[in-house]
Amino acid sequence: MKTNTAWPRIGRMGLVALALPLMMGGCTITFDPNPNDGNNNPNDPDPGTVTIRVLNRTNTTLDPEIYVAGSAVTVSQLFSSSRKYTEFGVGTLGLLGPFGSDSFTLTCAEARVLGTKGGAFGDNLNNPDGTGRQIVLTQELVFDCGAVITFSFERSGGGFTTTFEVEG
Amino acid sequence: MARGSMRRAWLWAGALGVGAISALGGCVVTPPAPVTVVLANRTGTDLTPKFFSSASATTTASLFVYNNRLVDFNNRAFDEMRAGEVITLNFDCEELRSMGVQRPFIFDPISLTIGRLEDEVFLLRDNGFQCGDLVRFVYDTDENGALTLDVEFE
Repeated sequence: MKTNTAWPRIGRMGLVALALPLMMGGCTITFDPNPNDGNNNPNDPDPGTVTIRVLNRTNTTLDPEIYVAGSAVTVSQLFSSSRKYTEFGVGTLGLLGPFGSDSFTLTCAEARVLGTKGGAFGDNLNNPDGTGRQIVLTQELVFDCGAVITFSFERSGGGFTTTFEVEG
Repeated sequence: MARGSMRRAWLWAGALGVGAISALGGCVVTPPAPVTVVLANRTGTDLTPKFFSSASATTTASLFVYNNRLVDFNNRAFDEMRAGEVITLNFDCEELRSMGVQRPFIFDPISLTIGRLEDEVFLLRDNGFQCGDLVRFVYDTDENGALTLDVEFE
């Protein structure tokens, strides 16, 4: 009977013996938080894409003059030669033949701002028959990530015009 | 007799426990307090904060390189903060040798105009900020709509 009560007492003494140095020695156990890796948002979406369709509704050759920027830019910065997108169309030169069409897909990060100078129409693009209307579209303002944007180039009266449509 | 042996064993175990902890000095090395960085966009438009951080860079030339730039901080596909957005970053102090902001800019997506601040801020650990600091970068605009940047410490 006496022995049975002695063992728990010894156990408690052991716990106290362990706890005292921890308390008196100023011992601190710190769990290192996850170091920030530059990404503090755990809900990052899938990068997503934007698809651009280009339709030439004329009977002449078309340079649709598509420009793309992955960051905030001014109009003049957007329409600089380094931002002209030409990886589509005939020979992936960014040109469309009469009544031709093509499409291409960009990641949403590549398409912060995009647009067309209006397009140059004519079989001699060094001396085009005419140009269309300049259009600039910004992501989250005119279109969202995941959208399909269609630029249509066509004749209008005696000249040419450019329109766009956003789906999705 | 057996009970006596068990009792002695428990006492020895307790003594060994105390001895082991005493031998270790009763201490575990605590890492320096983390650094908290807050980026606050108080402008009324989109902001590219151009915030850089590095575990090793000690000069502006080595800090302000693209690999050190914070580019993925919200659910946008591009590295812009929304109007009024606040971002909080926590850094292990030993992993943050320097940080700074270089030529941030605001963007009006309607008019496609950009307002850039040509200044840069460079802070070195122990010579600009300390472990445990809260450093707040506050982006705002003045009465003329020009971008401003204030750095506050707590």
